[in-house]
Formats: sequence, C-alpha cells, structure tokens
Amino acid sequence: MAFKGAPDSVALILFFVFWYAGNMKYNEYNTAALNAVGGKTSGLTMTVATMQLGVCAVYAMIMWAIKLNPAKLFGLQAPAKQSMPNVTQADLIKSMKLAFCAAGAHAATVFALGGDPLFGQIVKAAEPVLAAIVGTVFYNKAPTFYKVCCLPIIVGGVAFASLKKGGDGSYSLKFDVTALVFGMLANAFAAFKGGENSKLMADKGIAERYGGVGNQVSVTQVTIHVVYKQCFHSTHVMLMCSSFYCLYSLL
Amino acid sequence: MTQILGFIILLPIMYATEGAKLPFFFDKLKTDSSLQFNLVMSGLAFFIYNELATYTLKVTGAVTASVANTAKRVIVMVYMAAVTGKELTDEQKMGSGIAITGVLLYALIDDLLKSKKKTKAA
Repeated sequence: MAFKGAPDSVALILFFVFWYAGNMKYNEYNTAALNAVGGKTSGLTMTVATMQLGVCAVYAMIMWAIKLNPAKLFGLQAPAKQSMPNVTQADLIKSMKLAFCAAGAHAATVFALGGDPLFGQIVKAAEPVLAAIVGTVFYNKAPTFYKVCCLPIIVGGVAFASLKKGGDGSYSLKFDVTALVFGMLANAFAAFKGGENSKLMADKGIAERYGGVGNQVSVTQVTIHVVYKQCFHSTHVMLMCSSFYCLYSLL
Repeated sequence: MTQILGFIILLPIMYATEGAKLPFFFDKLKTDSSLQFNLVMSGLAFFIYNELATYTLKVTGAVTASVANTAKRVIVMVYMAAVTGKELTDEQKMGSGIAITGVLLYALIDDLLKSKKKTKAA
C-alpha cells in the first residue's frame, strides 16, 4: 500500500472540522456573491446558484482528467484515485429525479439564504418536518410515533423565530418571506432527494456502477454517494438546474 | 462521456433560460473581482464540504451525522451572524434554539428510547 498519511481517526476529525469550516465559508462566499450581483432583488440569484454548480462541474471534470481527488488532503491523507463513474445511460435516466431534487434543493437554498442568511438557516433546520411528511405520503416510510412528537417542537421553534416583539410588548409576525418560502421549498426538495436517494441505492446494479469506480475499498452506500455527488453536483445538476429555472420562469 | 455530452447539450438551454440578465452577469463577472472570487469559492466550498460530510458519514453512521448536522447549523448561524454583522433577535435565538433542540431529539429519540425500529435519519 502506498503512503497514506495521517491515521484514519485523525483524518476523521479533520474531515469534521473542514466540513464545518467549508459550510461556514460556503455561506459566507454565497452571501458575498449574491451581494456582488446586487442582492436579492437583482434577478440573478438563479444565475449565481447555477454558476456555483458550474464551478463544481469544472472541478469534477478536472478531477476526472487528472484522475485524482484531492479532498483527502484535508484529512492529511494522500489524494484518492478518481476515475469517471462507469454508469450507463439508463442509470442516468433513473437518476434524473434525484438530480432534479438535488438541483431544486440547492437553488431554493440559495434563494432562501439570499432572502435572509440567518433566518434562512433557521427555516432550513425544519427539514425533518418535511422529510417526515414526504416520507409518509410518497415513500410509505412513516417516522415512529416518538419522532412525530418531536415535529411540533421544530415547527414551534421556527414559528417563534418568526415573531417580533413590538414596542408595546405585543408580538407580531415579522420575517423574510423569501427565506421562509424558499427555505421550505428547499426542505421539500431535500426530503424528496432523501427518498429518491434511498430508492436508487436499493438498486444494486446502479450502486455497483457508481460505487465500483469509487476510491474506497468496499462498495458502501456512502462511497456511492461520494461518486454520486460528483456526478450530480456537476453536469447533471446544471442540467436539472436549467430545467428548474425553466419551470421557475414559467411560474 | 454522457455527462460531458449532456453538459454541452444543456449549455444552450441555460443561455436560453437565464434570459436577458445573463450578459449583465457576464459583464459583471469579467470586471468584478469580488464576484469572481466569491462565486468560484462558494462553488468549491459547496463541493468540498459535501464531500467531506460524506466521508464523515461513511465512518460514523446516520445518527451521528444528523447530530453533527444539527450542531453545524448552530455554528453556521453564529458564524454568519458574526460575518454579516446582523444580530439575531432574541426571538430568533430562542426559536432556533427550540427548533434545533427539536431536530436533535428527532434524530435521537428512537435510540434514546431503545426502539428497535430503524428509521432513516433525515
């Protein structure tokens, strides 16, 4: 075995650290990019969302070209091998729904955070509520009774965060409508994405074709997910983003 | 190959749909270094944090991942409040605290109650 770098435990901690850091930085850069095009009224939010995925697409293609994935460097480990996933056209067609949901979730998130970067996050925290509803209605996967009991707490919290105390001590609703609407839309997309993802991962053939070229030893669900993300946060997300935008502009 | 083909096919669609504002966007992209930097960095950060999240998920499992995800929201919110200079109102602080506690409970409750039903953490 070639030089691997830091032990897995150290790498794991670093992955956690950089996951958080990356997410924080993403929020910061995203807000700055949206401000640079003129903020939420610029009419360019969708362009920014799409172009972000364009950057992802270029990055993914570069990785395929050099056949290396540098992400493990964040865990002080040697870069993993990265080949193009060996998927069939039929796989891609089957994956379209998932890609559409991923694209929708991303675009809606950018709109929500563009509306209000803080309140948008609060709304996004309510994702399990949508996941529970969508899972029950569309995927026949109802959460347990105890889980259902937790949902009102989440809804209540978000509702409370939407209140504002007036000068006279009375409460009124005051919140960024864009952040609420698109945040919930993002949650809905994310919920469908979860459902579609588990449906797709149940398909052994696809799992192997996505995962077989992955850089991990065992074909775990998550290896697939890694490769998967690379596919879909790239060209196909752009594809679906465009279609989503078509729909959006029609509406 | 199909991906790259798909990408090439779809570029014109993107041009068609993004409408009249696209030239303005590209003009701005050419001249505004802050837009260039932030756009590229947000794209890269998005890709990389998703990938790293997946690495951690692979090792730790769904429950830890959703707990970590919950904790992440708190950190991101505090960080964004600091960066944007926007204070969270007391209501927002309390409300998000309640909501996030709810999410945490949602992720953990079945394990806490030692229920044998295994549900997928959202």
